[in-house]
Amino acid sequence: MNNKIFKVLFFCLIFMNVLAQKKDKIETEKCIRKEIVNFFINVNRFDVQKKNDLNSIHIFEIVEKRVLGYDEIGIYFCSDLSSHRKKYLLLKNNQEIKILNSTNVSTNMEEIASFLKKNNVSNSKSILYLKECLEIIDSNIEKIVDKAIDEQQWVKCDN
Amino acid sequence: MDRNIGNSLRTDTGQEKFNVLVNSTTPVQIDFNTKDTKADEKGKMIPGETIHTDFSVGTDNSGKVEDVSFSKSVITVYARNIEVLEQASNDGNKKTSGDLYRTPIPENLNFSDILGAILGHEIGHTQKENVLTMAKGGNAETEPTKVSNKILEELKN
Repeated sequence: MNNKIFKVLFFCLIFMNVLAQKKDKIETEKCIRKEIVNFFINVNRFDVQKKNDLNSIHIFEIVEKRVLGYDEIGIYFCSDLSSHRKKYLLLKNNQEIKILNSTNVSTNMEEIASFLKKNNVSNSKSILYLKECLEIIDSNIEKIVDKAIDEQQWVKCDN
Repeated sequence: MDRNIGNSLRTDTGQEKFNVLVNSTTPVQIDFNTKDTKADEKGKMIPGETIHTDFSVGTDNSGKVEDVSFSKSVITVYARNIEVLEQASNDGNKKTSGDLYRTPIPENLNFSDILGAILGHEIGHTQKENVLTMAKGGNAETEPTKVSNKILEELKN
């Protein structure tokens, strides 16, 4: 009996450990960080000298509440953790990312909804994502404006 | 300049925050920007901001944020925006006094008073717990806004 319990616990531990493993390759993470730093330079948030400072941004999955690297598919915010500055929402589909930088709220919400639908995210989880996204979009209204670049493109980080 | 900062933080809560500033183990730099007028997308002026240099985020093995560290915080206060708030507070019309972090500014405040409330708020953003809250996706404005509100309240008396 004790042996059986031990086995179950052992497999549970292995299962939990597998779930907790980092899923993104270091190269992918680096490439995503590079894309975001470049974006921050383009919207005049960062000086060009920060080009190689890839750790100067924080990338956080808004529902799973964990940093970049652990979720292949997810919605993240990226920020330099400064007060009164905008948090950008970012869609991640494996190695592809899209920064939602449209100044039009409906355009961003459309993108988010179609991303959730395309990835068959459950209704209950979609509600959580939409709630979190709306909260971030709302809090962004009273933040210092960056230079607007009103275009959104998927970028592939496969190197 | 140091004396001006000390003077502006002369209320009880301001003094508490001044002590936090001078006793901080992480250096805090205060920049007075007299050139820019930073605003949000509605055109509302932002009076100050705080950035952190060389920050790193510590996580557990599932990616959950556990800790943050940074080598320095830089508070920037936008003097031209404070001047506009000062004028609004002294135009004799309570309805046009403007607000600071969503809280209406009382009548007859001078530049130093408003600066004190802004610094009190921004010093809150230099605290490790505040940066950790932000890194965990929480609302990092709650505590600093309580401080600036308290300073504004003390200035009324």
